[in-house]
Amino acid sequence: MALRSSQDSAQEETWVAKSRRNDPQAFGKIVDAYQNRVYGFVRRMLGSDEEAQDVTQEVFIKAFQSIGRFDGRSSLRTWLFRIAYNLCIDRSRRAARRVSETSMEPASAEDEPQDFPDSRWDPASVVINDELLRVVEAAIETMSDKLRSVLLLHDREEMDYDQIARTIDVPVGTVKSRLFLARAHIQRQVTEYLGEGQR
Amino acid sequence: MTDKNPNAMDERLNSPEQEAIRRMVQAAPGDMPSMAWRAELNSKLQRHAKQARSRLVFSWASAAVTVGAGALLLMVMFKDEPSNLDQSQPQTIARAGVEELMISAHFDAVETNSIDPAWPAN
Repeated sequence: MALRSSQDSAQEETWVAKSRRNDPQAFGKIVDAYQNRVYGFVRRMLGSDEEAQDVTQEVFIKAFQSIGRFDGRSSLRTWLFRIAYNLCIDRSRRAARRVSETSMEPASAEDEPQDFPDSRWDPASVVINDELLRVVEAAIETMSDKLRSVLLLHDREEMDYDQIARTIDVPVGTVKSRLFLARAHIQRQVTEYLGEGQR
Repeated sequence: MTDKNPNAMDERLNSPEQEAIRRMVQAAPGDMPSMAWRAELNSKLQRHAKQARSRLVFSWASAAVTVGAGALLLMVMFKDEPSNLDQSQPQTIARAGVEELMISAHFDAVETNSIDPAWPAN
């Protein structure tokens, strides 16, 4: 679980200071605090457990090597996720891995997003069960890296728009637009699934 | 729409449909890397810390050698200067010696000339 309270934040500053003095034990505390979240983000970004394990290790090693350059202007969490995001994008580009991407992303991120009204589902009445979650996971897997990263950082990591904008280096308006499109993509998949259930 | 009316986008993002999707994404199970993964990461971190320490020691040693070499060079340079000064003294002494030799040669010549030519006979 990521650190939240001010006491935890002070503790985190101590770990960062010790890590800057090349103390792997102190850095291990940072790993303890963030490994699950970073790993979850990376696994969903790359879609492979094995790759996610490699990349998550790379994230923490890179962070340990460059923690001297961490200036504290952003939070440690934002900084770690920025490293994770960049490594995931690099890995995706290198491997030229393109999942069968449903073309939900507009040609320009600022294009008009569309609403997806559908009478087949009522948000209030949808029961979240394991099968539905599998549909959601599959939908996350089939969207573009750009949409997926924003969706995961906002809806799973609970970062605000400004933090996400800094993490992935795009304007806040683009973050909002991508988040809307990412959710709309999932909504369409969920609607299809619920529609099949009604037949 | 996004830039012209940002509030409209906020409203869309807060719609019941979008909120329902947010809850679903949040409800997806979390991930946890294995203990073996963590052990491997720990050993990599230890190795990197050791390498960083070695680099630090090496850079300090390099700096010490550089400073030592610089100090030695300065010592050699300052040691040369007094010896240069010393070299001027023998030259002075040498000049003085030549003068004395010339004077004594002159006196010898005068004395030789003032000797009675008949001296061997006397």
